[in-house]
Amino acid sequence: MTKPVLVIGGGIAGIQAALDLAEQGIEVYLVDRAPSIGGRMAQLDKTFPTLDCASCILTPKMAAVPRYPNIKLLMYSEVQEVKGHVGNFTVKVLKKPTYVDWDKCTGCGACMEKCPKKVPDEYNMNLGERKAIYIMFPQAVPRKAVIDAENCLRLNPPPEIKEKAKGPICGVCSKVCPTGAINYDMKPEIVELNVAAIIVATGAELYDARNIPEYGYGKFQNVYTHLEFERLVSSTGPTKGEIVRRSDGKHPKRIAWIQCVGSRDIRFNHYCSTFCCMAATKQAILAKEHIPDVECTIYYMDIRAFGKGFNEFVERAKKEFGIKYVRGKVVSIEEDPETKNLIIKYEDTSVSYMKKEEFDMVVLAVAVRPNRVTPTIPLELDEYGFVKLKDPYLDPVSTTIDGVFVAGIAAGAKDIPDSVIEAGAAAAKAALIAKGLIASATVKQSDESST
Amino acid sequence: MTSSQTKSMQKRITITQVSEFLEEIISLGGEELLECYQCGSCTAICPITEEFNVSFRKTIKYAQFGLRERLLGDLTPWLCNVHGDCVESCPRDAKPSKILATIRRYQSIYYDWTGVSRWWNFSSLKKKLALIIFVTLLSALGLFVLYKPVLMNYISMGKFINMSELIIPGILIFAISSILLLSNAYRMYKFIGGGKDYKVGFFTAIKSILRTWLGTEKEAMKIPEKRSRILEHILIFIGLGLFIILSLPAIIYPSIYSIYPFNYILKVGRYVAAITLLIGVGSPIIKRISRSPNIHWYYKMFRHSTDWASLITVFSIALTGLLLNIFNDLNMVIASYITYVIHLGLVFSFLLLEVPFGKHNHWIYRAIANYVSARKGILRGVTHD
Repeated sequence: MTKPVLVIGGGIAGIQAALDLAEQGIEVYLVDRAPSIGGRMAQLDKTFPTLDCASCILTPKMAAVPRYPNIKLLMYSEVQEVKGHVGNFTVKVLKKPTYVDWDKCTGCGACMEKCPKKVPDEYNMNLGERKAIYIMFPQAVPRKAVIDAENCLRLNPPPEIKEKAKGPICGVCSKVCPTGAINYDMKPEIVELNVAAIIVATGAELYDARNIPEYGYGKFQNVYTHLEFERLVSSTGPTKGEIVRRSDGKHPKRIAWIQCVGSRDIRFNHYCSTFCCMAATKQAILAKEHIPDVECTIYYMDIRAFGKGFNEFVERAKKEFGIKYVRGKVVSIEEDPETKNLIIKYEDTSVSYMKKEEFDMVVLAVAVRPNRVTPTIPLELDEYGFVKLKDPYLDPVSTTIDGVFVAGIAAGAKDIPDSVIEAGAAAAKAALIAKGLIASATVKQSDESST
Repeated sequence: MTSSQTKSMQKRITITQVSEFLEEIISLGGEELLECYQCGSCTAICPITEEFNVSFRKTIKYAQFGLRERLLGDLTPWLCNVHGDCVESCPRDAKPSKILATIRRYQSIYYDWTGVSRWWNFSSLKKKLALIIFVTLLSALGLFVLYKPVLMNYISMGKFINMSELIIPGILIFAISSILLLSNAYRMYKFIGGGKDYKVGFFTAIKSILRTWLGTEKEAMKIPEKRSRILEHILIFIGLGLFIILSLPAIIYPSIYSIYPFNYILKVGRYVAAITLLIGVGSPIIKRISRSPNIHWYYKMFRHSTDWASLITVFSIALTGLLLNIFNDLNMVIASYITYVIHLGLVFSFLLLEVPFGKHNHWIYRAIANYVSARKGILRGVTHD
């Protein structure tokens, strides 16, 4: 008998794991706290080292997910409780209310157009705005609207309006919805699942660059994180792919990338975030493609171009695109209060003295951090919150709990191909348990001991 | 084998040499040397590099690679004024200014031709203190034997010990100390390539170096954490300076002690010098001993035995000086006499050990390094002649 598998997180690793399991006829529950699958990769514009369009390679995979009848999507949901053991986990999942009946919603977007409330758009790293009712991004899967209850005028009206109004306020979306899908009375729902194995693919967030005061992120307008820059160059981004400065909306003429911001630093995070060297190279090339006369400089300590084709990519950036690479850690950024230009200070280690350089825009390669893994799974984590592995050499997708596997950045900083590889490996391990092919002895024993 | 081949054979550094070198550096207090991954944060954040085109990272690299010759010829460590910004910005917690202090110790070992500096820097604090006490007692004994009849006959300062009789041993000790210090300083000057490739004129160099130096220290004074350190240093400097100035007339023209108003001026001056020194040295000693978490990391970091030896010596000189004045004013003959002999003994040991071989040679090495760097045009914004 084949039992289902739970995949937590709908990023590229979660999607790949779900697809690999579903292909084998195993039932999969795919849980994501966002209203759409896609995760961080959906925010990327291009991928290294081939400069493939990220959504062009991700969207087919995303679109494939709902076509599998044995993949059950649990969107806008969070795992609340995990009990049991390998082969027999009981999982409680909290389905947050979307206030939209997804069976009726066609994803037409009429509600989004008319909604009066604007809020910062998380998908665009708060660079743009979305409405209180929204579809996460145009290629969202499933392409369904959700109401952000916290910001909705109807569900969470500001006190001063609430006092004046007599009846319910706003309700524009329910008026314009052609299928009558809006339901303001939707309640949170708890779903109980019984699964044989769990794959944790909870992904990454960025380290808060505000903790590094010398770079002035959050204080100086033209200092960006690399994920913000990614949204800026993306054609689905807030500027439709135009690289403009936050301060004056002008095209920058000189852009600097600063590597190892908060990573490889004993004061913040010891580890290397692994993909920033390549990401910066890619972004510098993209900047050149968008604004041909832009001057791009990457400040690095070591270029870690370790993957297949990575080194060639860096060489190409230097020769073909004229990207400058300067070895030296930037120690401070100062802002010219008039022009809002940024003056960076560093030691150019090729000439061995301190230099100051002025830029129109600075992009910080901020360290990557694991998303807080649902605390209800008693996984062993390291000091940064990455999931500890059972055996980092010979069993690199197994966690310290039998039957719980991990893929993607949840277990350590890595790039897309590595995440996909791990997802496949985790799916294969989970499939063996789901099909009852291994660990039957363990299952039996623990069954006996628990009863 | 051609001569150039022989030369390159001689210059080749073996792995054993490098590991011996590293062991030396580490035992001098550079435990963090190999932590450094050469990012250059220290050079970039340093207030000194705003003025000098130098790289502290490069100096640390020389040390990591065991490039002894290059390290000895490098004047950069002596430009470091231990502001400590590098320690706070170092992503590896390698404590660059501590490494540089270690390299300075290493350099002064090799700048010294007698070998005493090697012993001084490598021996434990206990051994150093034992030597200081030994030299002090020996000097005191010598003074006692030489001047006993004179000493016992006088009570008031000036007459208390016939200063003119001290001229000979005083000059002798001073001369030995100066010869040792100056010969080492000359060796240092040669090691760092002094006199070669000068690009800036003498007066321009002196003027610009003074302006630069005062400028950076003035900037540093604005930062509260640095201010107390600089003030302590200034107090020690003033105290020692006063001490020398007040001692000179005693040697040159001893009867000045009985001429009004100079006797009073000198007396007040001696008290001021002693108290200034006591505060200047006492404050860092207390902070180093204290276990309070509010103490700045600077005081926790510089705990090498040479630092302690220098603080303890100067503190004892100031303390005995103060006691001497008090005993003398209270007409306590025997107490004054004993204190004075010990005080002079401490001064002699300071001149013979601390000044040429210990930490108190840093002023001359720093002055030379600053001067040479200015002449070589390493200073930013100074026009070349």
